[in-house]
Amino acid sequence: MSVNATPAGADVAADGTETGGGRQAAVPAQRTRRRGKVPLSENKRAERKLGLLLCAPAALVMLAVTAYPILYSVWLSLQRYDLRFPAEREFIGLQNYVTVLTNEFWWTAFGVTMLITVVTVAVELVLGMGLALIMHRTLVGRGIVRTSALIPYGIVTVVAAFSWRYAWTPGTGYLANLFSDGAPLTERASSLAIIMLAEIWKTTPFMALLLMAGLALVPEDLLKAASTDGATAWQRFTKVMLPVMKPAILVALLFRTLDAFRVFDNIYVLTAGANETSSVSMIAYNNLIRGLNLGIGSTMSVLIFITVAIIAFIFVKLFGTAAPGSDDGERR
Amino acid sequence: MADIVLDKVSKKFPDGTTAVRDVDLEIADGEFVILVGPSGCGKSTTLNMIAGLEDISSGELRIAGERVNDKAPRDRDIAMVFQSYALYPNMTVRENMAFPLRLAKLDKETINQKVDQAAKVLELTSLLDRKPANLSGGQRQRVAMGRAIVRQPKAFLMDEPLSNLDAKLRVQMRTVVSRLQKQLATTTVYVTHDQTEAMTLGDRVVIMRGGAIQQVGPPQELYDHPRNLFVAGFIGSPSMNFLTATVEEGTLRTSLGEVPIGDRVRRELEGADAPRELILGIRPEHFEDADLIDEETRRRGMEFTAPVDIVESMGSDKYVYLSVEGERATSAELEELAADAGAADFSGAGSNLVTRLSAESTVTEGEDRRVWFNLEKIHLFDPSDGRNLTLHEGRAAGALAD
Amino acid sequence: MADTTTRAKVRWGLLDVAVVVFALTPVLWIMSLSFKTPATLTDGKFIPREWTLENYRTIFATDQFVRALVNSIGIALIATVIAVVLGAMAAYAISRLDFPGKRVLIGVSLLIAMFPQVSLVSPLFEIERQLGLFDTWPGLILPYITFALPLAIYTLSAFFKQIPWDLEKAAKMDGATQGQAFRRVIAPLAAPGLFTTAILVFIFCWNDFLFAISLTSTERSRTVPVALSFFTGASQFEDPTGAICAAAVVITVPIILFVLFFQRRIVSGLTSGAVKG
Repeated sequence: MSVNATPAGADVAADGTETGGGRQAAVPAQRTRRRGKVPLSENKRAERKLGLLLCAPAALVMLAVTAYPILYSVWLSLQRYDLRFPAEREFIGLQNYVTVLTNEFWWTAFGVTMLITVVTVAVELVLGMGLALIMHRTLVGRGIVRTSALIPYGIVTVVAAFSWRYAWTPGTGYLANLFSDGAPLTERASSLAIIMLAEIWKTTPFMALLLMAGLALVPEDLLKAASTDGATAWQRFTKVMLPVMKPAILVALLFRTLDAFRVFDNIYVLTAGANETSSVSMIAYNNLIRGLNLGIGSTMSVLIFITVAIIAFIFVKLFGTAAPGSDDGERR
Repeated sequence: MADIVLDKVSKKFPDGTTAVRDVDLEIADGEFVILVGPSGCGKSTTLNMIAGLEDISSGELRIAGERVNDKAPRDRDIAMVFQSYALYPNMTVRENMAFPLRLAKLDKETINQKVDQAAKVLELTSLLDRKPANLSGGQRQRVAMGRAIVRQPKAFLMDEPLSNLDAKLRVQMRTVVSRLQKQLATTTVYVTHDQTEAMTLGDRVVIMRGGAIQQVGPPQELYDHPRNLFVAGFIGSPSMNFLTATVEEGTLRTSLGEVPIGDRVRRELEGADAPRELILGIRPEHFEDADLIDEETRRRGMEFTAPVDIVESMGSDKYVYLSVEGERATSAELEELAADAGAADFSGAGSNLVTRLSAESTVTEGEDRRVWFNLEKIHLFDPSDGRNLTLHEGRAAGALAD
Repeated sequence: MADTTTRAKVRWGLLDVAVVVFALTPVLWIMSLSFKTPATLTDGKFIPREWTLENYRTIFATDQFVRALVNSIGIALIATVIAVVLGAMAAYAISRLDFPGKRVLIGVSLLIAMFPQVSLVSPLFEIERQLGLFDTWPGLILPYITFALPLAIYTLSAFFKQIPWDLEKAAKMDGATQGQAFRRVIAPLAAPGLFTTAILVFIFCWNDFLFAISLTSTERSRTVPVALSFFTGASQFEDPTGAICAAAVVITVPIILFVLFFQRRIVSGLTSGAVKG
């Protein structure tokens, strides 16, 4: 038993950088956190007040622009309200929902959206993992790889969509004659494939970045230990890296699934919804802006909102996805 | 230059915990005082209250005779060195050291002169134009010291300033700190977790536990005359061995044999509420190989035989771990010390006795060895409150004293 | 050993090349189209046979594009500044203070990050028409701020948590007031985080299409992505392809510059903000 054997704050600045948190090694954990945050003011009430005051503007803007409109949209969805015939505005209960939910265009769009979501997210997960590994572990040109991978993420979706559109346009494009001599963007199956390709191109880097953050959490020593224990590269990946990365993967999947469900820009530019390639966002937009039917448009808005909420709920409850930030204040 | 007085200083947090309880401490002008104790003992909180970084819940703090409870840190004229060094990463070494002087609105020439002077003392002259990120740990530490000394404050506060350095550098920097403090003769309060630093650096050491002061005194006094179990266990490396002892008809039954006790201790134990179970404390250095002592010395102690578990040869002496039967002594203080060492749930096998024998000893692992220990240097503690029963008027005299 | 590392390097190098080609082809393609002359536009060649700047001259000569560019820049900049300021206040509170409702705020911003924006299009369309915000700059800036805030709050609180706050204490011990400690020590350290966040938020606002096309109706507040899609049907261009591509390249340039110069910051901002825990 050697009392003096524990170097205080051994976990601090092990990498030689200024971290600053270690000074509190001498204070019990539950107090450390509070004190670390507010070194001077012990006045809890002042601290609360300041905290609320600082958050208020952000919270107000966010609520004003989301919560109120979504409630308003529920209200609108219960009315017959077509801007071309404003006189006919009246409260009709759930009739708009009946109209939408018995409409085959809606269900086609819903099917298309689901298809795009499932396929793109699945492909992106695989490609994104590969890209994350390349960005994280490549021996040469890490900077170049990361920079070029960021370009699809940063580029305006509409610009990319135009690029893809012209690439597949007969006569103009370098890809148009790749498969058949027809025009790929005039047929449903090939149009959907191109939409998905454009989506995947655009968002795989984002997926890869999220996964790379997860990769960075895998301790190098753990992989070395697995190697010495006789694990092959594949076993190291599946048995060591994936379990550690699981939270990051689930978060990436959640974000990307919900994002993919919103697909709009690419479809708008590539096909404008022709040949039954509309997504739910596209069809809601068409009803509202093209059709000026606020009642039906709002009904679709509400339905999309509910669908997204269900997807998020499934992720959080079934897969136990830890929402980022939900553990704030617990760790670190 | 100033003295610092803490008068019944307490610190309560809003959540109801008390981090520091009624601390009374007078630090003389120019004195080097060490606050030491395990994690959570309140030493850093005490330092932060002196600095003005924490409010004082009750009590009074006086610097140079003046009450400063409500003064902001900048009005107290004291400098602080942080464990993380807290160097401003966006400033060069020169700018870091000049920062307090610039805030004090000194003119450029004076600032440069003072920075150069401090840099010279700490051998930082060649590093003045570098950024902290390009410095080694030891260099950063010296810059942090430089920033503190450059403004010649009334007092230095140091919060574990060496704990981020590796062991060798820490020993080296210890002497630098010590020399610097003597040279400048500035009142210094130094917080550490490391009892070796506490023993080697300070004029006086303050041992804290659970927010309260356990004992204040020069290092040697704390070593020789620990007031309680906690101080005894905290000071000394390797730490004191603690064994259970049962009082029986004027002797103590221990796993090392029957230990005789003198009149003074006996009187202590005669009271109706006197404990029957005691804790016997023996420092490793008060053991010796029974083959190596003369008759004169032998008479002052007693001998026992025990199997040798492990021998660690340190060159100058040997650490010999003996397997001893019997229960490990337990008390709240000992558990806290063990927890602080990170060994709360790991006791190793059996009750091992750590002894520090002469290098000439021929002891080998696995044999049964006859070992002697000095009865004049042993301590007896009351397990219920940790009090040192062998202490008389602040002096410990072993179990045999009359 | 040397042999295997060379082989590994070649293997990684090939993978790198694949990634670079995959990422850059669509960008290079649209650039190539923008430099083609009308005669060679439909030759299907990846590299232009004749180079021309005519397309760029055309778009900068029209009000339709210049006006949209001004709108895009103005709206994105204003939204970025406001979102970063509000986000920084909230992120400071989240990372440094203890107050009730903190988790609710984190939860709400997470919800908004995942919110289907199209669900807001109908109600906002109606609300903005009533408030007179429809087809104005504020009409777009408001939803941009809202959807940029979660991003800003996450990224900034991750950055703020990394700031060694001990330095604030050190500055106070060195004689600084609260204000001086903030201005001279904390602010310079927080600046990179603010800057990175601003880039991410700007990219977000710059990219938006759905709000821009739903909540605008004239050149008064139409942004470039929307204007691009309207080039198609506009009669003033005989064949809008070259003009669309030139305009597309113009709005892509700032993004590419950001990515080139601040790759490291963007990566750290995205990864720290998006995945915590």
